[in-house]
Amino acid sequence: MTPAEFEVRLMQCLDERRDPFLDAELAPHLADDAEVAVRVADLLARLVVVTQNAAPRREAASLPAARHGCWRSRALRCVSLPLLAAALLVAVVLAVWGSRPTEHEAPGRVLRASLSTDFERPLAATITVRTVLARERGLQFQTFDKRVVRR
Amino acid sequence: MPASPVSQNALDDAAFAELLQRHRARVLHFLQRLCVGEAEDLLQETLAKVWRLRASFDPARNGEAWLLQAAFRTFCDHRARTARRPVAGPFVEHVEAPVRASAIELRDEVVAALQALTPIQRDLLLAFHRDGASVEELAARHRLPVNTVKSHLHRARTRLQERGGRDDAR
Repeated sequence: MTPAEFEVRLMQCLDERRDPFLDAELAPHLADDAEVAVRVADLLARLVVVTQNAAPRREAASLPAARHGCWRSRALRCVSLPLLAAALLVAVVLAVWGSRPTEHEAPGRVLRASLSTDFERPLAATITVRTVLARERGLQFQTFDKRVVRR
Repeated sequence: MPASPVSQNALDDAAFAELLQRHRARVLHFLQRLCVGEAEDLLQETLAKVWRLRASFDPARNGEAWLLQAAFRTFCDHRARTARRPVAGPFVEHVEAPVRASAIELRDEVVAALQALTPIQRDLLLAFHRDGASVEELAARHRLPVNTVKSHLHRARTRLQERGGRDDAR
């Protein structure tokens, strides 16, 4: 095997990701020439450095993202927990307030409306609307409006 | 298993042991140039093997060359055993680096060699060996013929060797 043929065969092994030292055609040549064997070993060692020296692009690209993601997850937890607590508190408050009488409503809000027949006036109906006039610190002023509607 | 042929002029045990002792350092240095971490183990394995075959050794032969060939076969057998084990990546990941003053020196040499490559050579070399891309993938990615990609890879590997070359080359 000439040196040129050896080089061709060596590169072919590397292209096919095979070990040159285990190649049937190269092994005898390597066994006969220690310097060539050492040179091939040196090349393989350098290729090892190529594979290990620089982080793979996938890992390198994801590493900053992983860092940011870690930061974002922490920030999210820091923000979401208080929000969750606040939401829970609001829900409790609403539940408590919601169970209270409807009289405690915003001003102008209709509390109750009813339609009743005015027996005194057969062709009329009475509409009664109770609304909140004002509300301040648990004190609520209500008003009602009574109207008679002729049918 | 057939018995090894016995040399008519075989050395006695003491003479053979003296032969091994005389060339031991040279054989160890050779193995260290092939691999680092397991050179001592391979040396012991080589010496044990040649000791069993001492009766077949012809004193007229070059003892050093004979031992170096035996060491090389031991090295190849070791690589074959290692290759049969399940590995996660290409075989180059399991190659031991030759003796260097430090691993940093080797890395610095490789980094310098990579920087000296042309952009296409460097891109293809890294994509093939570091990222595991196939030649066909690289050809499609760079819109080059497969043989052109191979030529670039071959040239890049050759230049990888030339830069910072071995201390005791040739």
